[in-house]
Amino acid sequence: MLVQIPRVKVYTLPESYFSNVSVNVLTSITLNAYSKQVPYAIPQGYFLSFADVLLQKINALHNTAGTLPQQYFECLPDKILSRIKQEQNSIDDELNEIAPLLNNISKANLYTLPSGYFESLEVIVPRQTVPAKMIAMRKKFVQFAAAAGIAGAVVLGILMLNSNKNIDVPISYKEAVKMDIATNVSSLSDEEINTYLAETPVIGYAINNGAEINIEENIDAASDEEIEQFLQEQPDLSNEI
Amino acid sequence: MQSDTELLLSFKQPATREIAFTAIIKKYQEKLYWHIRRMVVSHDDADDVLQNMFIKAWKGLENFREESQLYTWLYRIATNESLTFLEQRKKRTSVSMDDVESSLSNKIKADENFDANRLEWKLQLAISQLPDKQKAVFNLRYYDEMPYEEMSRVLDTSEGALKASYHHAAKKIEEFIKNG
Repeated sequence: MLVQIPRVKVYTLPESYFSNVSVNVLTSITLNAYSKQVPYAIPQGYFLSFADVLLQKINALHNTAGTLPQQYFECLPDKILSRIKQEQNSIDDELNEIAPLLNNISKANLYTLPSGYFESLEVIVPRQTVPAKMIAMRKKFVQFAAAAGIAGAVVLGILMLNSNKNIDVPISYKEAVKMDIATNVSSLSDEEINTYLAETPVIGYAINNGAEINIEENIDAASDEEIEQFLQEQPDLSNEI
Repeated sequence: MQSDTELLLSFKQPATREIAFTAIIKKYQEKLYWHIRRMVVSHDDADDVLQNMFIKAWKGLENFREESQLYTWLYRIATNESLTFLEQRKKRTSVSMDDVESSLSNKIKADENFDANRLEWKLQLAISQLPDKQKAVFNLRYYDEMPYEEMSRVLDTSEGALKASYHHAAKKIEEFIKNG
């Protein structure tokens, strides 16, 4: 039966296997030899003293952090003066090149100064002792009240003349015209002003009917004396301004 | 005297803010005053500008980021306040540039120590003729001996432009003195 089995090679081989065998074997032998050899040399006893040398270097680093070069502070003023002179020389040299005449003029201060000026110089810095909202509201209210009083009086007058609407008004036209707004307002506390703004319909009516209140115009309309008086009554506000 | 860093730290604490600010004023007031005075000439004007300048410094110090020296920052405010003052005076009086310069000259001549024969006073008259920013450049370099690098941070202008401006200013002043 064995005789009947054909004698053919059933296993396959990579192409050109046998032609490369010798080269592959020689290469392997060579590489094995190289991998075991270290080409670099080291000083004799290197590893024996390595630990000691390293410790010395570490100690030296620690010591340097707290030390100064010898006579550092003794030499420092001269070093700094020398740098200043260098800088000065460059400024003088520059001026000598452009306008040499100016280098011959004294730079001493010529202008006079009141005696003791610097000793008594005081800069008054802004301080906020009254909350800004209250200041703004009080200031605005004075102007609102002045303008609204006038606007309200005019509106009331027109309404009374027309007599077409039945509006419950808190004051008469005559009373509104005679009212001294500034005196009445200055006597009010901030709480009273807040309550008035929240509850009184006259101002609201005036505003809602398009009687626009221009703060700047109202301030312009106030005399210097009125403004000065208001500021004197509010010393903190005058500092704010 | 405390360092700027110490003063700034102290300023940031509410309890020591005013003491620190007073110390900053005392430390820099003279240098800044004379820088301003050379720009505006009159003592009263210099006093106003100096006060305004320190008030601005008070408001801005809390947010001062220390990217520049405190000294440079203060100088910057002082220069800007001086330039603004001169600009506003021109607008307020609605006069021409020539009139403003002549009014500065008049203020110089009105000084009780003025002596037209002295070179130092001629120098002041010459400087008063310069445009405002060029005046600042000249004063910072000539009187305060400020390096261009620092001046660049004070005036927010390139070093090259500052050098050119200073050179022109110095030449103009020399011509003025020689011909005047």
